[in-house]
Amino acid sequence: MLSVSGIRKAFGGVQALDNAVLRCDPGEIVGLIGPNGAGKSTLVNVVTGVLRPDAGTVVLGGRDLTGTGPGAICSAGIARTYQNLRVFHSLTVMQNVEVAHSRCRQLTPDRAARVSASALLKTFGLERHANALAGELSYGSQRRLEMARAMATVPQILLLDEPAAGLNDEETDQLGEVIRLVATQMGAGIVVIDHDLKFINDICRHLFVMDQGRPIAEGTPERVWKDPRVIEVYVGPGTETGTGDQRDTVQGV
Amino acid sequence: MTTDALPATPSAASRWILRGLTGGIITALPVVAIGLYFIGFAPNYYQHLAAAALVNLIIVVGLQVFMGNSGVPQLGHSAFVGLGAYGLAILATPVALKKLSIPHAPFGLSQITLSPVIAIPISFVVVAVLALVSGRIISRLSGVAATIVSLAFLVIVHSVFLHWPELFKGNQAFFGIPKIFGLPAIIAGAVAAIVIARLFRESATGLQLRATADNLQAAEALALDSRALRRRAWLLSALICGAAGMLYAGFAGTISPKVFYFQQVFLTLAMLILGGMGTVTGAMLGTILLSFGLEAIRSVETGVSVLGIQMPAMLGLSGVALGVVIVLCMALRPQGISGRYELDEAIGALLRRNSRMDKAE
Ligand SMILES: Nc1ncnc2c1ncn2[C@@H]1O[C@H](COP(=O)(O)OP(=O)(O)O)[C@@H](O)[C@H]1O
Ligand SMILES: [Mg+2]
Repeated sequence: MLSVSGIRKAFGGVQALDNAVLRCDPGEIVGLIGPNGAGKSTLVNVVTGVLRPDAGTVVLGGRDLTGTGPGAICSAGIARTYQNLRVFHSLTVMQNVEVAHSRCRQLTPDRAARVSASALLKTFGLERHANALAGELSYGSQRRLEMARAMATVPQILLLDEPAAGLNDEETDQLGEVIRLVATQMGAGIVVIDHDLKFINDICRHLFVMDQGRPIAEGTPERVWKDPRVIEVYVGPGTETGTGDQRDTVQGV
Repeated sequence: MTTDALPATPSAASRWILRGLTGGIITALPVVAIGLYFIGFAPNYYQHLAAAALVNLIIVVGLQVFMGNSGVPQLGHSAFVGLGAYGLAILATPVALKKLSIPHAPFGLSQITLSPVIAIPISFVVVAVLALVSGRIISRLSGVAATIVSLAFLVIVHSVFLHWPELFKGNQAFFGIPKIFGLPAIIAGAVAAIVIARLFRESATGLQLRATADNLQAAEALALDSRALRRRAWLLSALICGAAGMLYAGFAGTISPKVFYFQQVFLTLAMLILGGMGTVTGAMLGTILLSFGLEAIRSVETGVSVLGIQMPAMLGLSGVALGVVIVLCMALRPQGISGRYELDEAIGALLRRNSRMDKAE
C-alpha cells in the first residue's frame, strides 16, 4: 500500500505542502480534494518524484521511495496522469500505450495479456482510434489515453489529477465506471483528485481533504462532509454565504 | 478479453519490423526510380551529380535518425562523414600512391594497403568509437547547448584533418583512393540507409526516443532513459553518416577536409528542414527537391540565355537560395513538407478516411 506522511514543500515563500498525508490500498479508490491551490497537484508531483519534498516520506509496500526520481518511482509501481494533459501528440494512440509498456517488469502471461496495448485500448474505449495520432483526439479521449498509458506500466497505485475536468456528465459517468473497473479487475489502488464532488462521492470510499497545504479531514464521504472545517472551506464561514449549488452538493451526500 | 489479447506481445514485436520494412521500402522507391533513370539515360556528368545527391541523401537520413527522433538540434554530423571518408582513404589507398601523398603517416599506415572488405569495417569501428565518446556528452544536453557542443565537435575534427598532414594530408586533396563504388552501390547504400532509419524509427528505442522528444517529463515518468536512448540514436546516426563518407570517398577517389565542413552541414540541414525532420520521408523528399532545385539554380547562376536574351551571371544565388529555404521553412512550416506522417502512413490515413466516407454514405 501507498503511505505518504508529513510531506512539506515550499516554493520561495509559499508553503505549498505542510504535513500533507495520503494513503491508498490496492483495489481501493480514494479521493483527494480541496480548493484550488490547496496543494493537491504538488502532492502528486512529490509522490511521483517530480518534486523532492523538504520533509516527509513516501512509502510503497514498505519501501521508502522518498527522493528517488520519476523513473524509479514508476518502476516501483506508481503511475499518474496530468492535470494539464501530457499525451505524446506525435505518436499514435496505440504507440502511446506501447511506449509505456516497453519498460515494465516481468509479468505473468495472464497479467501481461490484460495490460496488452489492445486490451487497454478496449478497456478505455479507444480501440477505434488506435492508429490516429494522439494529438488529434478529443480532450476527453486524451484524458482516457493518459489513463491507459499509465495502466500500461502495471502500477500498484494510480494517481489521477482531475480526470473529469472538461468532461460532460455522460463522459464523467463513463469515466467513473472505467475507474471502478481498473480498481476491481486490475487491482490497482487509485487516488482521484477532482472538483466534481458528485463524481468523487460516487466512486470514493475514503476522502482526504486539504486546504492551504494542510490536511483538514479524512474518512468516509459521509463523515467528511459533516466535518465543520470541511463545510467552512467548501461553503464558506456561516452557511448563508455559500451558494445554493455548493450546499446541495455537500448536503446531498 | 484475456484470451484474445494473449498473443499480443510476440505479434507486437513483429509488427514494428513489418511496419519499418514496408515503410522503408515504399520511401526508398522514388530514390530507386530516379537512380535507375540516371544510370540508364543520363550522361556521365549527371551520373556524378546523382551520386553526390545520393550521398547527401544518406547524410540527411543519418541526421534525421538523431535529430528527427530525439528533437535535439545538432550540426556536427559532417565530422562523421569525414571520418568515414578518411578512414577508407587512409586504409585502402595503394602503398605506391601513399608514398607520394602521406609518406610519413604514423603507425606504419603508409606501409600497408587493406582490402576494402577489411578497411570498411575498421573505418566503421573508428566512427563508432568517436560516436560513443561524443555521444556521452551530447546525450546529456538539449537545445542550444547540444547544438553548440556538436558544432565544437565538428570544428575539432576538421582542425585535426587540417593540422595533422602526415595522416590526413592537410588541406590538400587526398587522392588515389580506389574507386570501388559506382552509382549502383550508392543507390543500394541510400536504400539501406532509408530502410535502417525507418526500422529504427519504429523500433522500441525509436518509439521511446520520440516520446522523450514529444514530452520529456511524461516520458521520464514512464521510466524512459532519455540519455541512453539519445546515445543509441547518436551512434546509429554517426554510422550512417560514416557510411556516406566511405561511399563518397570510394566513388570520387579524391577527398579534402573542406568537403566535410560548414557547406555540407548547411546543405544537408536545409534538405532535412525542407522535407521535415520528423520523418524519414522528409529526409528523402527534402534531398530530392533541393538537389534538383539547386542544380536548376546553378545553371542560372552562370548566366543562361532565355529566348535568345543572355541573362547576367548571378554568382552566389544557390547559397542565397539555401538560406531562403531554411528561413521560409522555419517561418511558415517548421514541420517541413512531410509533417508528422511518413509516406506510407499518409497513404494509409487517406485510405482509411475514404473507406470511412464510403461507410458513412
Ligand atoms: N512550481 C511551482 N512554483 C511555485 N509555486 C508553485 C509551484 N507549483 C505550485 N505552486 C504553488 O503551490 C500551491 C499549490 O498548488 P497546486 O498544488 O497546483 O494546487 P492544487 O492542485 O490543489 O490546485 C499554489 O499556491 C501554487 O501557486
Ligand atoms: Mg491541481
